[in-house]
Amino acid sequence: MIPALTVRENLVLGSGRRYRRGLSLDWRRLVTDMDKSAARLRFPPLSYGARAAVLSGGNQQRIVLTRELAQNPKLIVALYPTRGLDTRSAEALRTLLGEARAAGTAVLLVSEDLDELFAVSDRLIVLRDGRIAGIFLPESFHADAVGPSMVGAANAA
Amino acid sequence: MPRELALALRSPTALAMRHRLPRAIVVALVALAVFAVVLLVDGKDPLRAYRDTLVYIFGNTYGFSELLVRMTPLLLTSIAVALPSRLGLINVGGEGQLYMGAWLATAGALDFPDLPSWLLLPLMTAFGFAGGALWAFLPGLMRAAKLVNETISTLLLNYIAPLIVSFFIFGPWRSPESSSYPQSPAFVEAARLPALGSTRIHLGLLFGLVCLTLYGFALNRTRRGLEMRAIGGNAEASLRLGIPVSAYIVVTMAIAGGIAGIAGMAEVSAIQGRLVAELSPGYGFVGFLVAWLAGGTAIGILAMAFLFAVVSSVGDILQITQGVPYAVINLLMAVVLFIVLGQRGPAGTSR
Repeated sequence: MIPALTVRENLVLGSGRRYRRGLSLDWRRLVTDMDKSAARLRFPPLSYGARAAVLSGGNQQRIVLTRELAQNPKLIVALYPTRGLDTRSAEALRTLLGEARAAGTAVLLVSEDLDELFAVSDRLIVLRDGRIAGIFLPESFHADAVGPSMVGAANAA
Repeated sequence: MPRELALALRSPTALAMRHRLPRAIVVALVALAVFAVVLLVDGKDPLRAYRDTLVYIFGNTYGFSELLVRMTPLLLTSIAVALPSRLGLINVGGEGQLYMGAWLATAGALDFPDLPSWLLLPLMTAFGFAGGALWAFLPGLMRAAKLVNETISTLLLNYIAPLIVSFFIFGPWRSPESSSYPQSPAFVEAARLPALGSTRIHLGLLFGLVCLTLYGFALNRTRRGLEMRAIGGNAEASLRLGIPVSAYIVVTMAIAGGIAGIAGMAEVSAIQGRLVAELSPGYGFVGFLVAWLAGGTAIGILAMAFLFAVVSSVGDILQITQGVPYAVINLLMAVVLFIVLGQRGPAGTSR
């Protein structure tokens, strides 16, 4: 995000060459696509003309998510994607990530929210000091099993 | 009223907003008020001095036409500063770029004197652009390669360009008929930019207005303009978004220098009619002030270029009517600069 630019401008810059048209840009198509993407995420309508600097953290997060998920990517690397979002938007995002996975998209979710990870993951990898400290499958998704590897207790025991 | 006075000194912008006046006018009024004190201290009558000036500038066509003549190079040199400033670059080299444009345009005029005017003038304009572009391309390249900051390199190149001009007018291009005074031979008629009627207003003014329109359009309405504003907003993020930041730096600097070069071409072609050493009374530096104060908008540049054309005319006229040295005009410009700098950050960062 570039704070000095408007929401519309930030959306188009992050979309690569997709909306280029001659000397200018295809703003109408951008807005159509982004409206669709925001509706899918159950976000309220975006304020395209506002400068990004005046948006709250959560709303900035919405802009980035709307932009990145608009083009049905084949791989999603989501770094704390629900940070700053309200519960409803966060839930909608998790559902969307689940749908994307069901449709064959690879999703790598990085998060510190265990409940969120337990709810959506097929496989959970704990990283500690740059190494893989443990790999877990859904049957062992509870804090007692995952916790020790997170604090380094698994090796000590 | 004391409140208004305090406001005028502290923040002319707030005063302008309160009375719904254009900012340039308020800045001018406050600067003239401060300058009046200087005139008073010198034992002059500021009211009479200002009245004489107004009568001279706006009372007849000649005075006003001279104002536009002064405004022409300022328009071009201020665009040369404003354009890179959108990327967050500081081009202090308008003066050197102007001289290099004049130098290469002169080469065109002297080497192809037999060309018809419709061919020679575009050629000289292209040469002028190329000369100025070269002088800004080098700093752009060094900045993009992270070798030298462009503020330093453009500033230092200002000292070299007039020396190159001097070398040629003292040496290879020295006019044979004026051996006492170093200057190039007079240009042929075909190499002179056409003027408007009997005034000295010339086609360069149109160049300036066209460049200004293109500047406003390109920045606000095109994809490249958006990418430039993105770089100015956050260069690191722009790089991550896939914008070729280095290429933008080099090309933008070259174009900006080229525009200052056109100012130099217009000065030799329309005003001087030959290459001389004292080509510019600091148009490049004043252009920097204009762009800085205008905050980068096209309409702001137009207003501020006009304001500074008035300021420098005031200097001329006071020299004649009040017998004050021309140097006092630097004082007036400094007053304007301090007033505006007192209330905002570097060009384009506030608001």
